[in-house]
Amino acid sequence: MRIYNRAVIGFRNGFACCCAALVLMLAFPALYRGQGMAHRGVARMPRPKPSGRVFPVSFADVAPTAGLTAPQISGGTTHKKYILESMGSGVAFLDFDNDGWPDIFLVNGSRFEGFPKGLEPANHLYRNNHDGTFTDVTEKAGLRHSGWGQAITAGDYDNDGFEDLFITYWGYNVLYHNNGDGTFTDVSKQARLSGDAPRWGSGAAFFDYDRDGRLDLFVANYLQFEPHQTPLPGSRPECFWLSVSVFCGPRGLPFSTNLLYHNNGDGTFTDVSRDSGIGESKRTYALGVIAADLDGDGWQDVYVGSDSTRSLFYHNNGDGTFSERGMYTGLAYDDDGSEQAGMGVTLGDFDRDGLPDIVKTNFSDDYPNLYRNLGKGAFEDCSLRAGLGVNPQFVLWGAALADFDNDGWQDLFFVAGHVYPEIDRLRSTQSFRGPRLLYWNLGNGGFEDVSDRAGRGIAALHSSRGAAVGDFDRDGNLDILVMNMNEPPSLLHNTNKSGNHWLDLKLVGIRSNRSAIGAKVMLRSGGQLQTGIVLSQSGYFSHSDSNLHFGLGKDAKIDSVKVVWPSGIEETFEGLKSDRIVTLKEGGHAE
Amino acid sequence: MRSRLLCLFVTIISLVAAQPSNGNALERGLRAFSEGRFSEAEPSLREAVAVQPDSFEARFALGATFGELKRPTEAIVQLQVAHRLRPEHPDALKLLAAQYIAAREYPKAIALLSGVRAPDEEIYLLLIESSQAGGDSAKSFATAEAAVARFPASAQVNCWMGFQLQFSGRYDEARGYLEKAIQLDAGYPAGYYLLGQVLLKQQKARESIPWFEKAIALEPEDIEARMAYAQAVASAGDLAKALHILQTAEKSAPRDPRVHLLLSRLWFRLGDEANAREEASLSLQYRNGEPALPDIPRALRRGQ
Repeated sequence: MRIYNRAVIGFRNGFACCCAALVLMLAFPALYRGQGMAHRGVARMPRPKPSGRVFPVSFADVAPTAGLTAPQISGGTTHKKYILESMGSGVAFLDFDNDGWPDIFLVNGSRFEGFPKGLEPANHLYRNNHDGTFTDVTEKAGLRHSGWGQAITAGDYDNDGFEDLFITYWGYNVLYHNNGDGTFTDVSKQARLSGDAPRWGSGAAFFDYDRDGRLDLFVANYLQFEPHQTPLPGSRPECFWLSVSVFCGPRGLPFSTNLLYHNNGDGTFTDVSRDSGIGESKRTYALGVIAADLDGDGWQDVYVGSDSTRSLFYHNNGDGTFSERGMYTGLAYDDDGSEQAGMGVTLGDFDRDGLPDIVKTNFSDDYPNLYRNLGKGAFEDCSLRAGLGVNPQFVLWGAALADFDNDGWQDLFFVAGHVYPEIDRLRSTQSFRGPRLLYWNLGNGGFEDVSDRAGRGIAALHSSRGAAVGDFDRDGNLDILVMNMNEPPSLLHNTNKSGNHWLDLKLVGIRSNRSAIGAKVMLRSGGQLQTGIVLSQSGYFSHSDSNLHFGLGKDAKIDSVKVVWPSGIEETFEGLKSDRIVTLKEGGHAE
Repeated sequence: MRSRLLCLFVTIISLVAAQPSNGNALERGLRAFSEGRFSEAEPSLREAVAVQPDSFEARFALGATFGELKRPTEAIVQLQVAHRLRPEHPDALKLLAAQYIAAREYPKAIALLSGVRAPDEEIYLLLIESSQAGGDSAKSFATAEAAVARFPASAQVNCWMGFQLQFSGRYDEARGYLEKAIQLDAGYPAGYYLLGQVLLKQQKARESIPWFEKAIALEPEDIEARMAYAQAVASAGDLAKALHILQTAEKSAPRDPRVHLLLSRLWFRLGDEANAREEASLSLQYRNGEPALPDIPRALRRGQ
C-alpha cells in the first residue's frame, strides 16, 4: 500500500483544533501541512537507466516573434486570495477560417482588483499568417470579451462547415457561432446555453452522445464560489500550505454539478442533465474533460478529472443516459484507492494496442496517472512502471499525448506551475514556476524524461496551465501552445532532426457531425497499428488542432487507414501518401 | 506493544499492592486491564484518578485503557498528565506518542519523540511512523536509515527500511531488507506482507502469492494482507479465487472501504456490473468523507 499524506484537518474539528494547529504550524513549519488539495506525499522514484538514444527534437519559444505578446491574466501575481485566481485558462489551435492553417485562441482571466475601463484583459483570436506570425483579429471577429475565462472547446455544432467556440466562465458561459466570414456571434442566449444563474464552468466538450449527427455539449462545473461567502486565507486549517496562509479550497468549498446539453438541431440546446444522469451530484470538484468512446461499444463516453475528489467516468448507456463507473473501472483514484488532485486529462494510445489510454495530471508530491486501457472498460494505472514517477515535485496541468519526433510512438508533454505564489518565500523544493516536462516514448511501455535536452522552450520556467498541440507552421512537426499565468503565452516551435515521415488527417463528417469529433482512426504502416481519436477538448481546458497527426518513422509507406465515424460507419482508405495533410470525408472520399 | 504493557502492569500491580485503601480502585482497574476487560477497567481507573489526580499509575493506566478502547483523544489527556508527572518515564512518553499518532496529531508526536536524548528502537519506530503518516516522507526515510544503522538486528526496523525503499520504487533494495527481516524474525508477519507487496509492484504476482499466504497464516485477521493477496491472485488470473478471498475479508471488516473498492473492481472484471455498482456505493459510504485511506501497513503501525 502506498503512503498518502493525511494532513487534512477538516473544518469540522472546530475552533480548538484550529488554535492548536496554529500553534503547531508556527512551531513546526516544516512538518505541518494543512491540505486544501489532495496530494499524497509520494517519494521521487529512481530514474531508470538512460536509453542512450539521442532525442532528435528541440523546442524554442517563438511567441514573441510570432506576435503573441498579450499576457493572460489570472489573479494576483504574488498572492492569491481566492482559488479562482489560481486556475488559469485554456488555449486552442483551431482553423476558424478554413484556410488549412491552425489559428490560435487564448482564453483570458481577470483580477478582483479590476482594471481601468477599456483596459480589461480579453480573450484573443490570432489568425495564422502562414509565415510563422499571427495577427490579432479579436475585435474584427467580434470576440472581445472580458471575464474569468476558463476553458475553450471548438466544434461545428450546426454543421455549417465552420468551427464554433464554447468558452466556460466563472459567471456565464458563452457560445460563439462562427459566421464563416471571419466573424463570430454570441448566441448563448438563443442557444439556451448561458444558464439562468452564474456558475463556475470548468472543462467542456462537444460530442455526439446520441449519434444523431449533431454535436451535443458536456459542461463540467468546478464548485460553487462567491467571494463574499468564501473563507479567507489562513482562516481555516486547510487554508495553509507549509505554515503559510493561502487561499482556501477546493476542499471545504461547496460542490457543484455537471451539465449535459442536447443539440436540438435548430440552433438551440436542451438541458438534459437530470434525465441523462449527468446532473446527479457526485460531490466532486470537476475540472478537465475528455469525451470519446472509452470502452469500445460505439457510444461516446465522458471522463472528468476531479480535483481532490474521485474522478468520474460517465459511461454512455446508448439510450440517452449515463452511468458513472469510475470506481470500478479503475479511473476514480490512484492505484491504492486514494483521491488525487485531478486537473488536466488527455487521451491517446501510448502502447499502440488500439485502445485509448488516459493521462491525468495531479498536484505536487504526486505522480500523473497513466491509465492503461485493458479493454471492456477497465483501466489500470501504470504511471510508475512507465517511468512517470521521477518528477513528483511539480504541480502539473496541461498534458498531451502526441508524437513529437514522428517515430510512431506518442510522447508525453506536461506543463507545470504551482498554485501558491507564496511557496517561493519558503525553504521548499517546490517553486511557483517550473519547467515543462517531456517524456519520450521508448516503445516498450516506458518513457524517458528528456526535459533537460529538448531545448530552451521546455526548460524555461513558467507557471502554466492550458496547453494545446498543433502544427502551426505546417512543417510536419507538432508544436505546442501554452498558457502562462500573468505572462504572454509560449508558442513552442518543434525542430525535429529525425527525418521521420508523417501524415496529418483532417476528417470531415457527413452523416456524422461535420467536425468528426469522436471519430477513431486506425493507421497501419509497416505492420504496426496506431490509433487516434478526434477530441474537442483535451489537456487542461484546451483544444488541440483537430487534425490527427501520425508519425511514421523511417517507413514512408502507409498500408491502410481505417476510420470509425461517430455515426458508426466504418471505412478504409488505402494508397495514402505520407508527409502531407489528407482530408478524409465520410463516404469514402480522400483528398 | 501490548505484551510490553502487560509486563509494565505486572510491575505496577506489585507497586500498588502496598498502597493504602484508595488503591483498590486502581487495583481493580489494573486487574481488569491485564485480563483484557478494558470497558470494565475504565470506571475503576476513572475513580482512581478522581481520588488521586496526581497518581502517575492511575493516569497512565487510564490513558492506556482509553488507548485500548480506541479513544485516543481521551487517552491523550490522561497520558499528558502522566508524562508531566514523570517526564523521565519512557513508556508514558511512548504511549502518549502512539496516541498522538492514532489521533493524527503527527507534529505533536514528532515533537515529543524528537526530544528524547537517547532514543531506543521503539522511539525510532514511532518517529518513522509519525513522520511518514504526517507526510514528511523524506524525514521518515532518513529516520529509517538512522534506525537501521543503530539496530541492524531488529526485524521491525528492517521492515520499515524495506517499506521506505518500496515506497520510493527501489524494489530490489527493499527486498534485501525484507528478506533480512524475515531471517531475523520468522514469526513477524509484516516482513512477508511487505515482501509480497514489493513483488506485486514489480509485476510478479505469482511470486508474491506465497508471501501473502504466509503473512495471513501468521496473522489471519490482517485485512490488508488479505486484500493484497486477492490483488495478487486476481493479477495471476484467478478472479474467482480473488473474489472468495475478498468476500472472506469483507466478513471480518464489513465497513472497510478498501475491501469494497476492490470488490467493485473485481465484480466489474467478472462482468457483473450490478454487484460492482453496489460495492462501489458501499465503499463511498464507508469512506465517510475521508479523503484518503490508511496506507502504512497495519502490521507496521504502532499508533493503532
